[in-house]
Amino acid sequence: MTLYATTQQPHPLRTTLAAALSMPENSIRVIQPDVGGAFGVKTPPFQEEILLALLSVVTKRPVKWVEERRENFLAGGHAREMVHHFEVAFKKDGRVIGLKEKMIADTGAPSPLIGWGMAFVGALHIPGVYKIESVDVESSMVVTNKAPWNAYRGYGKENSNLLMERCMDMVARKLGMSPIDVRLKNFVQPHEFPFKQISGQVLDSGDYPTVLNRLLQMSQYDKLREERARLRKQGKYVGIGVAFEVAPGGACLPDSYITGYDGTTVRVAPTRQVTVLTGITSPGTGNETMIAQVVADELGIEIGDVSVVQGDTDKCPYGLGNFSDRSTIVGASSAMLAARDIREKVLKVAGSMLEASPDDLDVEESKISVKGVPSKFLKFSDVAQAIYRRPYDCAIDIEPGLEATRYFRTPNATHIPDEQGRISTYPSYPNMAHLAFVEVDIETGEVKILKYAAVHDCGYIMNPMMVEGQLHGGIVQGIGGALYEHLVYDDAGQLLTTTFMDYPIPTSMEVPKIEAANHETRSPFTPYGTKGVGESGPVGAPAVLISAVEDALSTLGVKITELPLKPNRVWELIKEAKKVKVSP
Amino acid sequence: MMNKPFDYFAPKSISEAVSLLKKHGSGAKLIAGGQSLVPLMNLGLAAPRQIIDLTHIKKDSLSYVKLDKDSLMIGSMTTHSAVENSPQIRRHCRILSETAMTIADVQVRNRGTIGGSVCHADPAGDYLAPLVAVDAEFRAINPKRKVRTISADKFFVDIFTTALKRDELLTEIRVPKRPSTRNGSAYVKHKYVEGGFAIVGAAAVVSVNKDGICDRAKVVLSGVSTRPVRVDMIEKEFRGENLDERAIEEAGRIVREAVHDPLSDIHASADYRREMAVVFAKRALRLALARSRKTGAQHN
Ligand SMILES: Cc1cc2nc3c(=O)[nH]c(=O)nc-3n(C[C@H](O)[C@H](O)[C@H](O)COP(=O)(O)OP(=O)(O)OC[C@H]3O[C@@H](n4cnc5c(N)ncnc54)[C@H](O)[C@@H]3O)c2cc1C
Repeated sequence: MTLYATTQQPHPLRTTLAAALSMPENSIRVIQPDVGGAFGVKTPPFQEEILLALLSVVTKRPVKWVEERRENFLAGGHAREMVHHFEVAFKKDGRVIGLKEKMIADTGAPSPLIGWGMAFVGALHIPGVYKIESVDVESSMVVTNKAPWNAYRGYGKENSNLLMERCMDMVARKLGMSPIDVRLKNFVQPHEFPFKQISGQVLDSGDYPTVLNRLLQMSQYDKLREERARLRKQGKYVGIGVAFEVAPGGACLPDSYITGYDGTTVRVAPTRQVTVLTGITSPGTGNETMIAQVVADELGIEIGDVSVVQGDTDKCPYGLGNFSDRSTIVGASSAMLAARDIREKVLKVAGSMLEASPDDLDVEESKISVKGVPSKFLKFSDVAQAIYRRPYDCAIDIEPGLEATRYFRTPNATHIPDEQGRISTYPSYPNMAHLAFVEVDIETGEVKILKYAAVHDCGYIMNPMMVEGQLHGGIVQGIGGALYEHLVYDDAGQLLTTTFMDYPIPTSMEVPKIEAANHETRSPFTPYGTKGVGESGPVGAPAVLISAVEDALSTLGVKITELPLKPNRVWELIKEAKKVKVSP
Repeated sequence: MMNKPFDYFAPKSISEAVSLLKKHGSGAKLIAGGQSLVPLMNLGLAAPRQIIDLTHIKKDSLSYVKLDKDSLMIGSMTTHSAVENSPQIRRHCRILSETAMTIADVQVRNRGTIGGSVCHADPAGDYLAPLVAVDAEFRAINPKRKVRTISADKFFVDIFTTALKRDELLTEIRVPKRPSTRNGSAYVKHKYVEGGFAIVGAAAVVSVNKDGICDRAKVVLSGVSTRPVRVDMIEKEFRGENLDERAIEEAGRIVREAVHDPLSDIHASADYRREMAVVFAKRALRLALARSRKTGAQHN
């Protein structure tokens, strides 16, 4: 049986199908064609996938099902509805010393979708990038008759992040301090990495003060404050928000298929072309380009000679697909390991053919040459052919064949509890500072973003354009969640927002020009020092927008305690604040 | 949702189309650009048994923009894009071009028609307010080839309901021509995202005399109520007045009183809609006024 599925995890889906249908796993093939718009939602096996497979087995015919937009809205999985009650203890100098948090997540109806985990992961990432001696978190999930939660970019970390950033802003306001200074006071410091958080999570690397300071420079923060003053004099309601984000990646959840390894096969044909088969899948982010780039670089060959095969359980090594920033962290790393095995074999054979030690060889532009003697070289294809055709003479020292499969496991997760019972489930902590400059239309409650800037740290950057693309997309998604997107139910539990007309998402007209830059602090735990970037943006954008809107309405004393900030809601907040002002 | 099966007809002439309407009765639906009808069918809210497609009727018999001595005539099958870009409409009824520009996105504007939009009579339809404000007239034809003229104000009866009879087809929208100086109009739309429907749409039409004194000032609102809200008070109150900022504030007050029972939905509460009616009426008035005062400019 072959199932074509818009999934992020073809192999685990096959495993689930085998179990659900009592079929041998090797009689099932799952193919993931090009998939877009996954964002986590396509990670778990869906009941429909199992039903379709069953229908096909029973009827012995091909069965096809296309989900409609409305069905997706109704049952594809929801996310993020959470209430936080919290108290913060702090010193006069701005240092936060205690946090007590009670969070309640409305995770909807119980379901096999993996969304409920977001409540847990959110709780786990308190207190984020800040050092707080004493933290008490109580996380509850309540089951309701709404649609079940499903994984969604951010995976609960946007909630913990929002909580922490609200704390920093509130402490700053209470003390009359700059929100920047309060953050700088509480950050984990650059020399403290790897830093074991109070939660047991281990932050791998980072330089938060530098990332924040670079943002202030890049966005000309001081000038922006003058601009704010100037516009306020003209009667405009403008505000600046600054927020920090940490979007932990590479999830390794215990005893699950959401964990920290993946495999890649690098297969070289005698005529030199390379086929890469990987367990990493692409949700349309272009990670296949990056995998090809890694293999080409490691082998010293042209990227055009590398083709990448993904998303086919009959072809690719068992892998966990795509989620939680993992394609660079684990995917590129396993591709690197396999490519290095090939490189070693190629150099060994080339060495014996060129009568040089493999250590004395250079590989570049598909040529293997003796260091310092560029005229003494072999083409990559010469060596590949020799390996396939001459196993008894020049390739006698190696195992025949030019193919390697390697698995990489992120080394820095721990599932054996420490003395306090804590485990560590995220190996990578990409982080970003966000700044937003907004104007609120006092008459209509509309929020207009005049400027948006961000500085991100994803460790070593393998492909700048792809990183930039992820940052832009992620920030826009965060803007959507903060200002526009809302799944509305009526009192009888009917979902009212089942089209994109009723569930608006930002268009290019609402999104400002986003200035994004990078500051690299490499992870010591991944071979290239990469950290991941796929979940960055939606985690911090809500915090920075609340902060900016509150600043814009600060003369009215508006306090924002819920999202999204749709015009009608902002208008109500303004109206309520004005009433309080008039009748003290 | 699977659409229910239907019979499809592609008449070549207007008379064939209205005969088909008569023959098939209440189960039949005309389709123009399909930009309202097809979404309704996809959502299961409409299930016509016969679809009568108007796009095969000889093009210039329903899709045109013409002028005579007194009026601008727009064929019902004229697309939003054509309304947006027609030099005649821009010159003689700029507010309609301005309105068409705010509708949905390019794809929808290339297919959707002004006739389809008004016959659909969605209270949030953008054309509703400006057409009432410019005193447009709608011409309909029935199977007996009888032509009936209905004023825009009478045409919009209720939510998704017009004064058209079941066997009538809208052929043309006529807008009286006005002198091109000292007239100003504006359509201002409140929407949350680009391409979104109007929370409120405000159309204002203003004429001033050569001393800048108001001859005519009218505001009509889309999106606020089940049918366009025509704020007559403004027409009465401001004739002979100098429309200064105080007068505009006063106009806002009149609008607030004129909006009874505003619509309420997930995007906007009744209170919010009423207030936005006030805010956007004032914005439209200010803009129309500024345009009327630009000497020599043709902004009516
Ligand atoms: C994504 C999207 C966004 C939109 N946003 C907006 C917006 O911002 N503002 C706005 O105003 N509109 C918006 N619309 C609606 C759009 O303007 C439609 O084009 C318009 O409402 C209907 O025109 P149509 O030609 O497509 O009509 P159809 O959908 O073909 O028909 C609509 C109705 O009119 C009837 N009808 C059509 N022609 C005639 C005729 N000549 N005589 C009698 N009855 C007739 C049909 O039987 C049907 O009941 C949007 C639509 C979409 C899909």
